[in-house]
Amino acid sequence: MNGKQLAGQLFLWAGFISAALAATCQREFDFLPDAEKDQLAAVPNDLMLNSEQLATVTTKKFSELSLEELTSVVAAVGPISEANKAAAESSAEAETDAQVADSEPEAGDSQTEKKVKNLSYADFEKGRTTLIENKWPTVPWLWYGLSMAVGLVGVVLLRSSASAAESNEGRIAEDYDTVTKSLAMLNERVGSLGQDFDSQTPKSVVDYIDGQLIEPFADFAESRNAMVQRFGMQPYAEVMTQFASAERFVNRAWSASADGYMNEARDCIARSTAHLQEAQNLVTKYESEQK
Amino acid sequence: MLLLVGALISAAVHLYVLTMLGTEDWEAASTFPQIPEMFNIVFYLSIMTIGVGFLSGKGGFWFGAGGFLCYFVLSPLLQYFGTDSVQALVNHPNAMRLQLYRPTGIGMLIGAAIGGIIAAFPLIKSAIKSMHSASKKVNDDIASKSDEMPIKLLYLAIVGGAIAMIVIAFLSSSEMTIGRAVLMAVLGTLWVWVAGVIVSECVGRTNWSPLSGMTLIAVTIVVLIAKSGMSDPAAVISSMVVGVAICLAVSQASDMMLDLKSGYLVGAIPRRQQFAQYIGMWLGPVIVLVLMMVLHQQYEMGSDKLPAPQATALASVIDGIMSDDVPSYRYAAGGGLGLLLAFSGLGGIGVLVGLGFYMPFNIVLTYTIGNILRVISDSVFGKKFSHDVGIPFAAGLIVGEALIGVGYALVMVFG
Repeated sequence: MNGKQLAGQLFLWAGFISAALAATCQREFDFLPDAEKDQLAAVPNDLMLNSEQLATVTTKKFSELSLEELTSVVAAVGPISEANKAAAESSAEAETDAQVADSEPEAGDSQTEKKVKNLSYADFEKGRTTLIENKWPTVPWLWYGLSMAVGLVGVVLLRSSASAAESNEGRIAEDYDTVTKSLAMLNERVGSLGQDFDSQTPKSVVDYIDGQLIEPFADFAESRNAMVQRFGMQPYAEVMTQFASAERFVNRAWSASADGYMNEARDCIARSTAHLQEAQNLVTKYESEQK
Repeated sequence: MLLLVGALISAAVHLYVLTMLGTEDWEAASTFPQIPEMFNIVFYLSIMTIGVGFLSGKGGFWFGAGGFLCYFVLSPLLQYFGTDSVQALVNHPNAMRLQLYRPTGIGMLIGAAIGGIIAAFPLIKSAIKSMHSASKKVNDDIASKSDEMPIKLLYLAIVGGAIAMIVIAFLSSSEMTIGRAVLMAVLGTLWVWVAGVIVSECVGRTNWSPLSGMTLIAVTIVVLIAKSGMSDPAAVISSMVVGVAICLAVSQASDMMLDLKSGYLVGAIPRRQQFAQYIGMWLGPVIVLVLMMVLHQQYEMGSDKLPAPQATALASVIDGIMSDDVPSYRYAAGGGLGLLLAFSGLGGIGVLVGLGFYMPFNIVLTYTIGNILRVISDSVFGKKFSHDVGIPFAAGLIVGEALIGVGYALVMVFG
């Protein structure tokens, strides 16, 4: 990692963390009027009301209770029973972001009873914050924007460092050399496997692919971006289409041999040879066009 | 053999967890009270998850990093930089996730996916052009034989899918106008594309899918269109119908991507794989619908025996949208963060870090164990050992727990 890359990483992550902090440093609750906040603060955080308790004190929608009414609900219900709390917590486990604050309790409605049994302080708070008209200031956008700007400096540094590495003539030449050599090697090795196929056993085909072909395929794939630098995106895509087909047919030959289907494996090796030859022809064509 | 041993071990452990422990999590704070709760050190007691992490190896690193960023970096910093109400929440990690990290994570997933599509656009364009030129070749030579579906089918499928979506939206409610149905279908089709990329990338790299989050966003988009000019019940019904269609399309897209990836490794012919997928895709919904009806009649959906947490979550999101309570500001802020990482050129980490924000940290922690074991295995015993021994064993861990899970569910239903 060179100095530019290091600086890029530092700027990127400093900006990212700072922007993530900005995105999460405030809650909708902070935008409630102070009086409401104070009254909410008096409500126990672990308040849990089941449908029976709620029905004894009000028939209103939970989120529509005024703070005074909530206070009377809390007073009427009294201390929270452990059984009720456990029941509420177990149903809250089933994805607690299921906000059910707007359920209206109705006698005899089993669905409603199920829905309201885990009404809690959080639901009430949610009900109150829903009433806030503009919640966009929940994220301090100036802080967020400045942090993103720092992150962008990191992106620019990382990009320019990567682009310098990619356009490094020596590196491109080296990678392109790997591309041509591994392609030539694959053509030769897959071709010779096809020619000698009748003398092969299923195990020998599997071993040959594992031992002779995996590496040049990986080398080609590793250095493939040199073709983008040298010929452009479209020629790269065309060569890669042929290369990917060739690799897939070698994979298929491996599977077929492992399962003992030698005729299928022979056909696949023939197809792979043809695709590799086509990839070679394309590379030669684009090389000559460049000259 | 390794697969079998792995399966037996994970089956035994999962059976023990289900029947003896009575909980699927281990909270470090309960044994070591000195560990601050904000770090959220809770391990999901699932050997399968370790196996999944092992299979992903280093590829899953940024997914774990997303979770660690939340609870090891942001939460401690928020103790100082957050408002009083955020500071009060810091030691309630589940609330932190649901209220702050998860919506930010959903935004990050979307931003990173859009950034990824923009960054990869030249390549996508060239690939489609290359498929075009391949389809125009009329030579009989062996290399010209296409193993892909005809490119024209892609265009036909896009148009056909959009038309089907318009019909679904239009028929979903008597209050639906054709203009609104078209708008819902066009945005829905675009969303299928974006969400398909997100879900495919997440599943491909980590084996975890944010499908539910993507569906919530899809429903948000269509509800926002539907609620302007339709009654509330009609808006909800039409949005659910279109949302389900989008959800299925996204899940099919990610399934197809995974199948093609596995197929490539064993040399399957893409055309045949896609054909098999097309003719088999109707089966899943039919089986699930019948199963749901039977279960509902037997136990009633939403009862204690058959809770429906995702449905409840979806209902709450719809409630929120209907009362204009969508954390769009956090989605937007997360979107910017996702774009920042997507444009950094650091190998598509935006989606993975976003997924770490989105997923429960207990899963992330256990998954990270698998990642670490793979890294150790690769460096100490070599990659060949990991491939020949580690991967079959890890696959066995997944199989064993999954089978016990299915068996346990059957016992619960029929026992």
